[in-house]
Amino acid sequence: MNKLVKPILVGMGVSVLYALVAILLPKSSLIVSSVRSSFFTFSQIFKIIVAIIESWNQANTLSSLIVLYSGTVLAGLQAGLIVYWYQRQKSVLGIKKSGVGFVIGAVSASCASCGSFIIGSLVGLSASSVFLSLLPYQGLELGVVGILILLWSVITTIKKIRSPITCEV
Amino acid sequence: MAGKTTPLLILAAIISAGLFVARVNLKTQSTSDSDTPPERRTITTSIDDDPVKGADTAPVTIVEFSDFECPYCKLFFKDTLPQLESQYIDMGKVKLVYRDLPLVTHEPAATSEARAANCAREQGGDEVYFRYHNNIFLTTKSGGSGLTPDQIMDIAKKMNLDEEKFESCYTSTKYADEVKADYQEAVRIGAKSTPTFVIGKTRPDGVVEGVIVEGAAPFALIQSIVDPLLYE
Repeated sequence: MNKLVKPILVGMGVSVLYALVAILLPKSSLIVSSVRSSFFTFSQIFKIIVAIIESWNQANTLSSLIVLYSGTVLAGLQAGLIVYWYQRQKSVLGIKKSGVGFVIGAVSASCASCGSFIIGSLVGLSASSVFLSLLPYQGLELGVVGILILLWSVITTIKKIRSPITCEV
Repeated sequence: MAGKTTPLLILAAIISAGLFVARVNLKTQSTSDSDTPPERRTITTSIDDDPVKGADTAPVTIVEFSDFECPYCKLFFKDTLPQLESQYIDMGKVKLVYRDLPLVTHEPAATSEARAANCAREQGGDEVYFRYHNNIFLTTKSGGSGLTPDQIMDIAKKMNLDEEKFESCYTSTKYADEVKADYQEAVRIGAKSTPTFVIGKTRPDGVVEGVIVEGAAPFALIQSIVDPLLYE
């Protein structure tokens, strides 16, 4: 049971972080302009951030909600599995690996799944409009592809955990 | 144990120090000279000559950059605007300015509808503009499918507008430049999607100085921004 505590905590932390990034990133302009404007006190900015999180459900479609919830669960699961596998590898083989490699592996999948949220932030208005116009579902496809990548990562990690630790002859 | 936790402690210390320094810097900028007003790094835009809903004397202004074919703009119209009207606009606390931001993906319908609304405005001012604006959102299926010319004319007929005058305006390219100017202003302030709102106070020179909100904004979010501005 002790072995599961860290993976579970890491998984939950990553899920929360993933959800926060996905919800807050599209409203990053508001948060930045609120902080820079001096119209608002720190507590008022905090209330704005809370309002963004609380009202996210109302401002998005059912399909966006499904993509967010699936991504949140899978990202947390993937992070937890990676920590569990790392713990096991380290304890059995005495291998010291840099955590950076694992984080990059998890984040690259996570960022693909929030691609539809960040696309507008990374490119300009015309570019994102043209790019999204090529897609039949205006960018939702990016979220679905990201979810599939995460799912594939989870399955691969589970296989690694279940495979016996042997040295090849 | 010390070997594993030391890097994490160092990382946490660096992040905490960074946040502390950033916060101190922001505070220092605002209090370094008590006689000089703090530098406000805000978004600014103007009301221009665009339609206004609400009292001119309202202390807070919401400038909405919107696309008649955008489903999220329609969501704002259906879900948020009624509450905003009853609790803020009708009370003289907020005025709403509608500016056009037709997305490339929704053309030519988006600009067509924007021009039609401006043609309606010619015949009765801002009040008629917003009635036409409401009718467009209630009629369109959004997503760029657009209203047909017959549907555009039907709305004008239903509103008892002078049909000949309306048709003459609509079939010309009369307000195309006006719509384009709004679009360019939206690009200038960094809008990347619709709807985009600038919510702030209006200066005596007509410039709105405030914060930018992108995407359909639920009423609770608008309220969390407007209330501090009202009682600042």
